Amino acid sequence: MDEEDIYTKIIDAIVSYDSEAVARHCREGMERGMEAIDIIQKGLAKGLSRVGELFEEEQLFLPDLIMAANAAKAGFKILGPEVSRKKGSSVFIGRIVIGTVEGDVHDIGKDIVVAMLSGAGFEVHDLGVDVPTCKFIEKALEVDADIIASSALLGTTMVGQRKIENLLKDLGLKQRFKTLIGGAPVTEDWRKEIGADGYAENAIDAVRVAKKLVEEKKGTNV
Amino acid sequence: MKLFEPLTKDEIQRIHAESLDILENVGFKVQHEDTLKLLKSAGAVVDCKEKNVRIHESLVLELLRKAPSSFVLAARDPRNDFKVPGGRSYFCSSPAPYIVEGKTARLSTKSDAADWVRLGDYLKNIHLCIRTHVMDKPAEVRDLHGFEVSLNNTTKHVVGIPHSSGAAKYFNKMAAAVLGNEEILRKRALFSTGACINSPLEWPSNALDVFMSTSEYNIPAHINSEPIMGVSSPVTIAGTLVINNAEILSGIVINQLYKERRPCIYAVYTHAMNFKTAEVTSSGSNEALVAAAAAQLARFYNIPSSAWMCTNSKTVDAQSGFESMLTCAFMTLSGIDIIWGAGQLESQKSVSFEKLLIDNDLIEMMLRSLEDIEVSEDTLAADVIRKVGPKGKFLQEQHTMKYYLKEHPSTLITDYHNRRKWEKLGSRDIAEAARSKVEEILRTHQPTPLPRDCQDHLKRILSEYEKETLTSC
Ligand code: B12
Repeated sequence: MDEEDIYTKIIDAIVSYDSEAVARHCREGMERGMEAIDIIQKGLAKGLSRVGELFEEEQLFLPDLIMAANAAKAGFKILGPEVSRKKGSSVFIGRIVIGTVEGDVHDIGKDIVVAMLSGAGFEVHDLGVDVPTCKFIEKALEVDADIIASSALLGTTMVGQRKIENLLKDLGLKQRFKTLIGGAPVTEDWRKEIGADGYAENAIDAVRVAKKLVEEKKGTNV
Repeated sequence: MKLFEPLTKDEIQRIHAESLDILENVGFKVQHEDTLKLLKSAGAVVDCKEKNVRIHESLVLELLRKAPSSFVLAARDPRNDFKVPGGRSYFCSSPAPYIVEGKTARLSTKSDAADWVRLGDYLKNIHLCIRTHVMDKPAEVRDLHGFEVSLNNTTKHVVGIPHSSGAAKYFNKMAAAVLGNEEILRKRALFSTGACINSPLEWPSNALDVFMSTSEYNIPAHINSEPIMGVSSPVTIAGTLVINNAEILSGIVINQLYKERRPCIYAVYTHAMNFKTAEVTSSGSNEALVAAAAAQLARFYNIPSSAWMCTNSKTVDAQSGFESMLTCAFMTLSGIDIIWGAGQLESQKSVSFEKLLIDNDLIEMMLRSLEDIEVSEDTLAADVIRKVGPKGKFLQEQHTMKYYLKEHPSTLITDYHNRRKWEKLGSRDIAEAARSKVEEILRTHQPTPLPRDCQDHLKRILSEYEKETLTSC
């Protein structure tokens, strides 16, 4: 059996959200001396984007998607320490602070986004609902986040996303963090209006945009 | 009429028992200090750190008995008052941030909200009016702009659902201004309010602020439980009903502690989620069945009920027609007292003026189907049949006109022309017919305006609120 086989097995195990099989094949790969980072990129990440595609084609159901993301997490748990040991850096592809804005308790959409982001290999700090503006920024500073992501479901609470932008500007931190916004009433126009860096209309899109934002951030850092 | 009742007596008992067990042994969260204190002194088991409340069955039932089994929803024009239960369904228009025109949606403004309420005021089968969201005003003060617009544009019962905690007190002030003073408001609740529990089993502070600050005036309260099956309640109908029931009972208990005998409405706006698209719907057969069962549960406790007819369609098309029809039929036939959602599209995310007219016709027909079939000597019409005899006609009989008007619904826009006439009239489908009728109504219908000084009074309350809210943040 060659390396390709291991990747295929991990991908299949993710699509059928079999956490145990994901973990088993990840371990098997490591025992064969494969690089953890390769297993992540060619196995876990591929599996998850396959699941995303299938969901967008309406061939999978939402619970499948969430369970697949959890299965991928089981793989990260095993490979993560190995990567950090070797590279001396984190296995995560980016660090995100996320929450539902002040005055708003809608979290179903946000939780799906959280599941997909963590499944895709982001380190996600979920602040929950009804999160005051300053709390987003405090936490982002505390964990040295790449992205501050916010969800808003009410016409009356969307302003919370503008407040995050304004406070970041006031504190001179706008360059330090990328901002990502979402929620049913939120649109690309709203993103432009308030000056946020990214908008995604659903959880799969959120992963794509978050990856792009992290790359942009790394680009500007060098 | 015999109601559609999907649950057996035994099944109702089981749901009742399970929900009381949840309230007693699992409990619910209350993110509201004052309410926690009230619950504690009433004898509930309160975990202050976790904000978890557990209530013994006997206390739940004792407080439940205090909730009135019937009450009047009052209106500016007393001729528009109505009592629930009234042996039939009453209908409410819909709130939403977007207005659909053709196939596109745009944000609702204050002037749309005014038109929306005015249209509801005109339509015979709309009994409660609610505004669309006032999206062109600053977020902090939208609630009050919306309430002002409602009071100005209808003489029917108004539903006032604030999104922010602070606005509810000002709703009281505005309603009292319309009626003359606060004493009258206490007796004639011109508006009802409502708020949602965060399913499963958590009362957010906002919601309880709304209930608490309107309790002083005994404002009727919609106790809304709207879990999403398979997401915030079990995926099964029976399991969802346990959550719905436990949540609403907890809300009634809280409201009876705020004010004994406060009118409460058992409001079940349960959703489903389409797991292929992750879209939350309010339009399917599961949602409709839950509502029908909820009507039975509400009757079991002698509390008036409410549910929400809907469609998930984005435009006025056949899907919007059959989904609204399906949900409306289950709800009226099961005896839900108040049905929200006339004019709604997109599972509550938008409304359409045309759809409100279409739903008005739909409701007209549904209400007719709820009436008993009168079987009497006169309606059996044996005499008329004898008189007309074989091969005769009934058109010229007195009996015909007498009962035609009594027993046949009168719709506004549903098409009953033959093809030739239909073509002559412009070959319009129902959405097009509805559009021109909407334009005509909005051009001509003006509900009795509030007296000038009262309008000014409302404006003053609004600017007082704007000053308070916009400067404080
Ligand atoms: C469920 C629900 C509730 C539940 C919430 C439960 C919970 N734990 O979340 C409860 C019952 C508590 C509730 C309460 C209220 N609600 Co509500 N609710 C809904 C409902 C039915 C579904 C929302 C939902 O979960 N959708 C499903 C998820 C999967 O979709 P989503 O959130 O859009 O998320 C997706 C994307 O937007 C995106 N996304 C989401 N977040 C993020 C974040 C980022 C960073 C990114 C990139 C992407 C992203 O990805 C997600 C997955 O694809 C909608 C109506 C509807 N049919 O949509 C009304 C609705 C949103 N609610 C509404 C209202 C008015 C209220 C209340 C004020 C009612 C009241 N008076 O009590 C309260 C407000 C409470 C508060 N302070 O927040 C209005 C909002 C109108 C407006 N825009 O102003 C709506 C539209 C219904 C209506 N017409 O009245 N509600």
